[in-house]
Amino acid sequence: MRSTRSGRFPMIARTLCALAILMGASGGGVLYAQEGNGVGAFSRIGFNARGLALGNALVADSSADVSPYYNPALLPSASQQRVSATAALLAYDRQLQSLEFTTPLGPTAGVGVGLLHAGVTGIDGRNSDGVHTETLSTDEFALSLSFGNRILERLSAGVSLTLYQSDVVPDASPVRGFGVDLGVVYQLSSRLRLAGRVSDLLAKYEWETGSVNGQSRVDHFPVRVHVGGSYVLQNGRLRLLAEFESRTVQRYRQVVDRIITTSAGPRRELRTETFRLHSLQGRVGAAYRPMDILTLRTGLDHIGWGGTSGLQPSAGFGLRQTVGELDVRISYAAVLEPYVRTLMNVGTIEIYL
Amino acid sequence: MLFRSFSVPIMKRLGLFAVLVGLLVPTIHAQSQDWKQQAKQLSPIGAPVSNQIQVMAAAGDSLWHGPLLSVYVEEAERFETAEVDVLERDNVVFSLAAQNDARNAQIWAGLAFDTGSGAGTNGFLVSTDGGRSFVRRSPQLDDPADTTVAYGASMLSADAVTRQAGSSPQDLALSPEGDTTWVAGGRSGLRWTVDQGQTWVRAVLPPDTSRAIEPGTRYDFRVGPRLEDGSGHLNHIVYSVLVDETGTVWAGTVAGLNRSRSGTKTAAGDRGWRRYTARDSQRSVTGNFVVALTEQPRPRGRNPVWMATWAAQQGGGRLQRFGVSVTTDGGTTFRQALVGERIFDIAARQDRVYAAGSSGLFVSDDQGKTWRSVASFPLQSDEKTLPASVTPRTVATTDAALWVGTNEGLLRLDRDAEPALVTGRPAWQLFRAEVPVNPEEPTEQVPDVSTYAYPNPFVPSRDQLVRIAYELSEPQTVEVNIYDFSMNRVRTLTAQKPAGQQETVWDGTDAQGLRVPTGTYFYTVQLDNRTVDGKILVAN
Repeated sequence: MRSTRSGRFPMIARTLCALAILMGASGGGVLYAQEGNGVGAFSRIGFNARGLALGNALVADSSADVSPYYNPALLPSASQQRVSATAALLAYDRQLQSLEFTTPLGPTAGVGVGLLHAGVTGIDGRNSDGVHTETLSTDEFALSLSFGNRILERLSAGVSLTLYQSDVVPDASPVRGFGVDLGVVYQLSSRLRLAGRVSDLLAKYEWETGSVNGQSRVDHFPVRVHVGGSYVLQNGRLRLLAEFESRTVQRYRQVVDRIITTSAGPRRELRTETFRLHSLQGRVGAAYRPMDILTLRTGLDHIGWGGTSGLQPSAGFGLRQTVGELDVRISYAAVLEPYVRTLMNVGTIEIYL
Repeated sequence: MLFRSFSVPIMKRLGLFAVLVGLLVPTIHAQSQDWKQQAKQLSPIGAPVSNQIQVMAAAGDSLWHGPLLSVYVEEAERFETAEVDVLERDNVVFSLAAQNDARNAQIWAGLAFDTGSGAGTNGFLVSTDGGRSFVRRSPQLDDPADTTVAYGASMLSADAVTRQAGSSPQDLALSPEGDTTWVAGGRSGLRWTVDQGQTWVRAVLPPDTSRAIEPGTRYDFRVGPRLEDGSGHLNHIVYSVLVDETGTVWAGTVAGLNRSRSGTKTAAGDRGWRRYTARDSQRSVTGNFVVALTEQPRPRGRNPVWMATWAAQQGGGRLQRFGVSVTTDGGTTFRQALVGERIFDIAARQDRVYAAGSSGLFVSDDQGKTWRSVASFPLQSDEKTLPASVTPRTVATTDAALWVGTNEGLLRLDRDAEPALVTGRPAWQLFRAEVPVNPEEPTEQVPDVSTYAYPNPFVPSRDQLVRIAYELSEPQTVEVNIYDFSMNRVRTLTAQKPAGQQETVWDGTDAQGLRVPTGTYFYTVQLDNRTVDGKILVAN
């Protein structure tokens, strides 16, 4: 197996790799990969236009009202009650929407509830002869309840509990999984903030695909460890964001266990090997506020994944406007998806109550 | 070219599975009762109409096969199919019998449909002119008033089998003279017709409590299949039938192998029967549930009769075994082979026996003493692909070739290459249905698309491969990329392809051979100057 361990950040890589392996479930060997894919890919695209425009590098974002999707430990910075709705226009008949409510809770805490929905329509169902049988569609959901609290003056911590549901197998009941996110934020100075987050602990889907003559299978969500920072310049008008993600996912491979000799001739016996697939990637983002009502954003995701083809650049803006007594903010992000280079258009509206 | 959707892969299994786990008394769904005669010409087609080949019958150098009524004509090297209206209404050919000699050129096709709880009988298509035309015949069922059966000196009470469900025509057999046709009709038992299926006569087999019956003796048992309340007989549920060269009728049931010599037949057509069951001996049949019967044409002596047995839970025990048995002396003695192997079908030449089973195709050239298993089928053409392991569902021998029906298409091996099966790995021809991506006349089932993937949903544990179809205007290197929902690349597949409609196959693993998680995947195919894309729903 070819090892493709990134050489850019060897110390961090080794540290995060070790940490991620500790987080992973027991199993076989560790494979290093450029792309650590796993179940629940929809839940890792991003949550809203602000985050996607900034390359999803928000684990340590120092601005207020950051979605707990990026780090539940950011909830203490919730300024007031906020409702946010996001819709994305995606290629290949994909759908992605999110809805979120966050609110401060006392002087040091915040809570949030978020719902992420993804779907695919227009799947050309065909039988084993190639004849069209039906047009299929799928739906996946992630419902999160998050809580964050400032433990010390400079230190905050948070937790998210996420219920995942996937309805992708025809004629089968939706499958559900439960995941836990843990996060911390440390304000190192007035300009520099460091943060860490572990995502999707315990999360897995246990499939029963008998309805399509499949088998009982378990698909684990990747366990992701994010470490990042944010740096503020020009009196807060410029924010620089960066994070690294170490991703470990348990995956399976069928191999020939042995060849047994029977009275009817040789026969292969297969067994399933378990592997932990590990990968590293980086993200960066920058936000600049030339005027109070306008914020310009740009970002780069998937750094270190698949070379330049796997990079996911993005750009966008945010506008603030008061409508009556409501503070309304609108954000837009244009994201160039990796490999296929299709454009993802994402819009978010936030209303502060 | 005909393209239809049908659930034939599961139907045959459903019928047998019902017996394995306990008898069903299924509810019947409404189905057309239109038995009017029809006659249709065979139409040439370019390929099999389906890749699900689970029933075949050889007639000389022609191979008749399901799930529609199709034939491969060796001389013309082409497929033909009968455009019969009844097969356009969710019926499939469930069993076949064919005869092609100087006296007879009969083709019989037993029809079945999915009742929702197993296969149900829906009559027969009968040709007496070698397949040039067919007539429709009604199912082999009773009237509600058929509550008695005359058997020799006895008038036996009987359960009238009136429901189509559970009575699908599992097997058909023609007498050597061609004057009698037998059907193994599951719960409807064993029946025969001497008027080309216009009327059917119910054969009386021994009850579960008897080893033999003969018409001259008075009996007082009830004729009928085992019911949920425990009444009835497992030996009256019939799954296979054969008439050998001597006129002896063999009937495989859930409770044993029944033999009726031609000499036991009365003027009224009643027959004496002897039932053979599994014993704690190598010299008995391997099990009681006999699912397939085949006669081997030998140059000298009596033709051996080969049978495949399955382990049935009902009336089971340790003597219920999967395997193959053979008798070379008309049932006096038996030999066992392939014990433990789930065999679906058997075919035989003078000097070679073939058994299609869940572990592969088994070949023996020493009358079953030793076997070689063939689990993979190398192909003559590298433009076509088969999964690493293919399950043969049915096997037949024509004058010119050995044929293996699978869920991945129809395999053909020249007769001259058959001996190499025992010693080497001969190359097979593969015939597969080909649904065009850009049909001249698009329909709902064959829409006009640039690419499609099939089967979709793709179940790797069941299908092994998903095939991505597209059309090339000229030979080129084709790159297919597969992505997950977030457009992370999962796999890249590259191959040099000739012009025309082509396929790239994916086994549901990533570049490191790891199984991809269940979910929706997206693929792109780089064609001449454009990229086409599609979606694959992977359900592990």
